[in-house]
Amino acid sequence: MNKVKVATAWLSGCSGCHMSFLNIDEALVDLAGKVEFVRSPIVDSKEFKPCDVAIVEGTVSDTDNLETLKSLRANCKILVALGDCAVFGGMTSFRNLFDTEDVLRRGYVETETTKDGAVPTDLHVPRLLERATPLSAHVQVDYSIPGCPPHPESILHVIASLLEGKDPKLPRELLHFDSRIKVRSDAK
Amino acid sequence: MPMDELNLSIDGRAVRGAKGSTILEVCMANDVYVPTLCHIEGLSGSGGCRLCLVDVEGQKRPVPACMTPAAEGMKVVTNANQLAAYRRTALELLLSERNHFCFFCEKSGDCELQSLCYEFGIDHMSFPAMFPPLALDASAEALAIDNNRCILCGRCVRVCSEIVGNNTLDFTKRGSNTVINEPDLFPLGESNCVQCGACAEVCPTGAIFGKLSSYKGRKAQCQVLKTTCCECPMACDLTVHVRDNNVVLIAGGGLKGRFGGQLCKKGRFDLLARNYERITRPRVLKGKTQTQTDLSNALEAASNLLRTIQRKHGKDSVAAIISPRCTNEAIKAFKDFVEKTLQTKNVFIMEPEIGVLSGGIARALEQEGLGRFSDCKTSDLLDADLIVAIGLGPGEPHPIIASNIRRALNRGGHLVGVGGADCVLSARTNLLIGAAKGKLASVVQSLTSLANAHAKGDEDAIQKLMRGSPGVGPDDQSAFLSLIRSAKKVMTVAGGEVDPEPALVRSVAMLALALGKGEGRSVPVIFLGSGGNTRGALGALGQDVRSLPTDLRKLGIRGAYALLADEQPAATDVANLKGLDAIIVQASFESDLSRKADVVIPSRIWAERSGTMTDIDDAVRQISPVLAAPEGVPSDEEAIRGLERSWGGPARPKRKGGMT
Repeated sequence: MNKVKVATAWLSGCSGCHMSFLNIDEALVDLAGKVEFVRSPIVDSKEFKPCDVAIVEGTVSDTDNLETLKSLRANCKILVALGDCAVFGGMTSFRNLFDTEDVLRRGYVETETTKDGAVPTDLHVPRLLERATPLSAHVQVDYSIPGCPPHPESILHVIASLLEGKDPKLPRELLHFDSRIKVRSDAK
Repeated sequence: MPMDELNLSIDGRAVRGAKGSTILEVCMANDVYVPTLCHIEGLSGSGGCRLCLVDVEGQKRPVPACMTPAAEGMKVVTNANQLAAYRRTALELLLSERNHFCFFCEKSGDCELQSLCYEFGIDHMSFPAMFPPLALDASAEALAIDNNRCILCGRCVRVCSEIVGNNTLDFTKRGSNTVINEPDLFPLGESNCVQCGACAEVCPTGAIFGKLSSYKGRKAQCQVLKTTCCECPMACDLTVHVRDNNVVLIAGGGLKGRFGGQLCKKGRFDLLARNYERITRPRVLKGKTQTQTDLSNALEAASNLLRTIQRKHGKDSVAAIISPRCTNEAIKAFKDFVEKTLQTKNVFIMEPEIGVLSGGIARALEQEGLGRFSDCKTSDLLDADLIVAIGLGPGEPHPIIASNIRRALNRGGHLVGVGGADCVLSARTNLLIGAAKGKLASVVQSLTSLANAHAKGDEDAIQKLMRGSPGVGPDDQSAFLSLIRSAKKVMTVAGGEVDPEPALVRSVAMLALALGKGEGRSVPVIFLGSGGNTRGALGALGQDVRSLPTDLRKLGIRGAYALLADEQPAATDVANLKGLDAIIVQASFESDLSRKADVVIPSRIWAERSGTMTDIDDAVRQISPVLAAPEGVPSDEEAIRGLERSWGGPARPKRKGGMT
């Protein structure tokens, strides 16, 4: 049996969604038998190979993010947005409430520990886009897994459903926009 | 078919509804679920969120169920696929319009918008988010408004107007720029907001929240317990969210409960904000320092001290003092202890004299057959069209009474202020009849004469009074007269600035009687008290109890047993009591008195007590503990009974098989 080819990427995010993905724990072993990771943040590959599923975390915040996303979309059959940033904008889109210049100045010049800082002008440094936006602002997204981070069970549900050819839409108990809370056993 | 019923069909099912209901009300009465967001039971409808859209046969477009009156023969569809699609779109539009970041929102997990999004399986937005930069208004002490999370449902605006009667909150700007109280123009902290928190309680999202409740836990992580607020005699119903013996949030009894489930700033936030040093261990003064001991030792030391004083100076040389914050059960135990054991005539209550006097005078007037004072309820204020407020103090009236008065005024009622300080209602007063210090009695008497002459229809007497009455000018008199002429229901409220003179308290009662329009024999007057359970204390302790006098030594008092409970004694009371030879303090919090006391006995705070209290309307309300008391802190009644036993009172029955 040919393994399903999966690519994952994090754009502007905190990697928390990938961590949550790793938190599916022993299911990873099972998954490894069915899936080949052709690209991921820990698979160092610069080129984009065709794949079946691309799973993307983070917002599109700079020119590099945008290029990565477009290449992934062009090379995958199914694109899954992973986490609040990729789905809605999330934490990384807070900066949309401010001007881009102000954000850059705050980050490169005005931080409490910076001395003689300057906003990078090197052409090799990706340029910040006017707004940090969810994936759907740029490409077609096939499935979404919101959550900050999405619960491992939610991620596993979508991946397992895709592998089994089922509809991966999250049932209500696996759909959440933040981290799932523990509920008291005696809560009414 | 009864005249007041309608027959209609909902989703093909024949149902009945009450005439005058909306489609939504008929659905709810028949257990048909229709999602809602801006609607909340107990407030008027607004029809803004479009979540409750339903199809009605014959209508081209769906209609909001919350605003559409149900009609005979109407055929309603609530569950069509197309309606679900509209509802999803409405939710996605709401999400995209503002900055709804659940992951750091205080309300996540308890948010109605979030819950509906989950219900409709919204896992992404079909519209680009707008990311409008909106300000957070944290200028008020207890509350914050974050317009970033606001969906403009208007529940806060409606509750502030319809229940609190304060009209602090409103929409400003237009269209998608609309915000609640533009923070730059109307910061909440500089507004007329009374910080009752009603807006935070009804807010479906995290847009308005109590600062002290934020991030302490979600409802599902808490125990949700019911009790009664003991902070004042309004005795409001409380719903307390508790997590690991910490109060997370205090809500009221619901919009359809007493007084619309309102709470005041004190009731809603004080327990969260309170930071007094707690007394958890009994202490006894040895030499110049207090040392910790166990309860039985402390009680024994207390009874020894008091007995020694009584042996030397007589029974009445020991004063028994109680805070009106105690439960009825503690008051009963206190009364028994005073009558059977302490046998002193000097029983005092930590309540201003007016509160004590009014109870006795009202009873005396009832005995004289003048009218029934106990019939008048605070809820009667709601539909009064003239309210005469006499001698209101700066912190008066109780915020919930103030709301009731404001609601009456918002309906077209009028408010007359007689004497009194600048208070929360001053700005709403239609006629202010000033009274110089010590002149309130003559003003009240002049107004009583005028009201009596008016009640009798005696125009000659009115004319005579208008020519000259002590304390009230002719302009005020004619304004007062025209107000009572047009009023159908008059209520009188008397506050703490009424001088505690029996004659004046009596004239206030007589004025209320004269203004009462002779409806039965009920006298429409409310005497405001300060202590939570003043009514209970006065009822149990009877006529003999007095307000704490300013100089106990002058009365020959040498020692005192002071059951302060969770009351913080006023500086004057501390100075007064500190001058005694022996002082036993039973209190929850450290004070200048507890640090100087000969014996200190810990006491539970109201949130830890169980029992009952009697509210301002003489109704008995249940208090249940919402917090566990610190280990070893006895209930007040346990401590009193212990004191009684150590006095050599009735021996405790031996427990079967107990330790010897």
